[in-house]
Amino acid sequence: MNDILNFTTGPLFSFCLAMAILGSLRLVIITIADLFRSMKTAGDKKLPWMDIAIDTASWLFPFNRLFATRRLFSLLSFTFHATLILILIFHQDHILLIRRIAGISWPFIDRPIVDFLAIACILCAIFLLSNRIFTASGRTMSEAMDYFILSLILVVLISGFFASTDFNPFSHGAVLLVHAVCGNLILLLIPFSRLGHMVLYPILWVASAVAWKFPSDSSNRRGGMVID
Amino acid sequence: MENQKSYPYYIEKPLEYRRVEGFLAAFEEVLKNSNYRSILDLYSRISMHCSRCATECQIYQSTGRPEDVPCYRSAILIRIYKRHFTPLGRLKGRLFGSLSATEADIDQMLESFYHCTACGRCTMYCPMGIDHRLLTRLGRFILSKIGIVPKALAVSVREQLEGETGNTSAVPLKGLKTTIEFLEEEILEIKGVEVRFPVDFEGAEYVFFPPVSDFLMEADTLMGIACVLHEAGVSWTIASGNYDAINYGLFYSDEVLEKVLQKMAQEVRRIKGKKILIGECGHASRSAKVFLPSFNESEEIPVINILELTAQLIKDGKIEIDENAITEKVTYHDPCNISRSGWIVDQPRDILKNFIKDFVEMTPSGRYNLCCGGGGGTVSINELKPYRMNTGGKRKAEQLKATGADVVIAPCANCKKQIGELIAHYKLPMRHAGLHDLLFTAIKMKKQVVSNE
Repeated sequence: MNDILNFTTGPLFSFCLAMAILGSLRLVIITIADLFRSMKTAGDKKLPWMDIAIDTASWLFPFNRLFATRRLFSLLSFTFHATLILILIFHQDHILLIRRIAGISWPFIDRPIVDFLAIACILCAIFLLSNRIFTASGRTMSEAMDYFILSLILVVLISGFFASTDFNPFSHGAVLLVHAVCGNLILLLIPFSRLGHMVLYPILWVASAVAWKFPSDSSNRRGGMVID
Repeated sequence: MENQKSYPYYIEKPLEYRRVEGFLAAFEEVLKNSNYRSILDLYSRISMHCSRCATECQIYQSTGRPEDVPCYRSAILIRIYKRHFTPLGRLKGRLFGSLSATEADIDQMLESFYHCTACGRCTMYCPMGIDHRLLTRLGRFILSKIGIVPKALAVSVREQLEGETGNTSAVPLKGLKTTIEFLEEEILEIKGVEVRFPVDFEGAEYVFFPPVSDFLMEADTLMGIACVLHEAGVSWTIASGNYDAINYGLFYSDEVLEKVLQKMAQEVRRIKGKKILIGECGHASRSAKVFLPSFNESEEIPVINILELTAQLIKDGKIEIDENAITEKVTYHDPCNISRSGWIVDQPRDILKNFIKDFVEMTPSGRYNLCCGGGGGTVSINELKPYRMNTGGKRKAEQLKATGADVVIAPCANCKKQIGELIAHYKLPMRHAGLHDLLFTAIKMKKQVVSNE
């Protein structure tokens, strides 16, 4: 068990992290390159930068949007994302893992607080998953991948919580292995699934604005009907 | 034996077979010749299907049909894109043979994309910033290439671009001149001042493009505008070669959008005008303001909406208004195409506070106001009227009723028509008007000099 665990949290983790970073970098680069390509042919090259900046910032830090609509959903969705990011970056064990492979570290959040954040995050994830399962609009919209990603995150959170507390009713090694394997899988999925929104988020509003910038010779480019 | 398809609106040349192949060929052509691929790639990567848009879409809130959830509708197009136009999608298709575009998809899209009023409200609530209005428009654009476009829009556009009259309502120049004479006589009779509607006045500061339907149906709006411009001594003119701001290209076609705007710019150049002044019309204002720079790179022609100009003229003290002329309770409807971006939200309110004592805001208002329920060109499609009345329009009617207003101002030709029909349909105790209709009543006329001549 220890050998598998060491492999999962060692070389496999390094590989998955490298894939996540390089894959995300690729995703960001090709997206930005696409935007430049679009702007090159656009007849109007002016972008409403101030509006874009305001929209982006107001969604990155959506405090004034939380109570605009679907208040409970918005609040819990925000809490889910915020606590997940905090746990991911400031959990002591995560920092130790990074220090082991990259030699860098930063301050961590104390255990009781991290445990509290983890419980909040788990509850929010359960709510979000329930929302997909039990509401008509949620069910209508959700695809298999949506359920899978959220369930995977939930497994990582719950196994991580049990692995780092004294309330663990299961084998510590087994729980930690589940946590590490699923965590690695999430890292791998970031560039190849909807989790890509983690890295693409800051450029979404620029991209939407660019999409409205049509080529100056739109009508000459396109001819008539395909089928007459 | 071909299958007889039924369409929710009239179309001229209905395809009865090979629609899927046609749609995919059209999609491919559009992708090849445009920049839509990058946004489709991006949206397909980040759409989280959270359904937050569902709670804010007044269409879905009325119908409860999954096809009317903005994200669901966009997802149909995105799924077809992923399956047929991305390497991974093609591979998956070959391996599993599923998710290909089907006849049912075409049916769903041709209905769903014209159920959407392209109001853009859902985008304001989307945490991913997905612009469903853009995707609705793209879906309609591709459908139009296989002949699936409402006849009402297609016929109007043909008349505007190829017809003798050159405008969407087929108003001939002679008819325009007769109408103008009538309007001038009316102003003289009502206000006691000679006010002219200048035609082809070369070198005017503003070339005025109203929605041409105003000449048929909105006399008070036009008279109000003429009085404001006359009183403030503004140099303006109507151009005899093109007097229609309506641009249905905004709703379904990049090609039409460009051609209508090129025609407009050409006319401004012909009579050596300096700026384009759009009348009370939301979509015409947005299409000219936002997209003229895309298709008219050679020179910059500023575009201004009449509400902006009037607000400025009042601010500059060039117009005097009788603040006691209107005693009714008034509310203001924000047309989506000029308010959603925050472009024209404060200006009409600045105008109104000068002479409306009893003003009540709708809830919500401004950028977040509800659509009239007839946006995206749907108001021009008569066969969709029952749908317009009972879905998005129903929510709008409830919102209007809750204000308790006597008058609802709708400074947009499309919104005016829809709201007028809503008032009749729901027997709301109010009337609708353009903002300049009220100004026509309230403006104090002093200048006897005829402008521009």
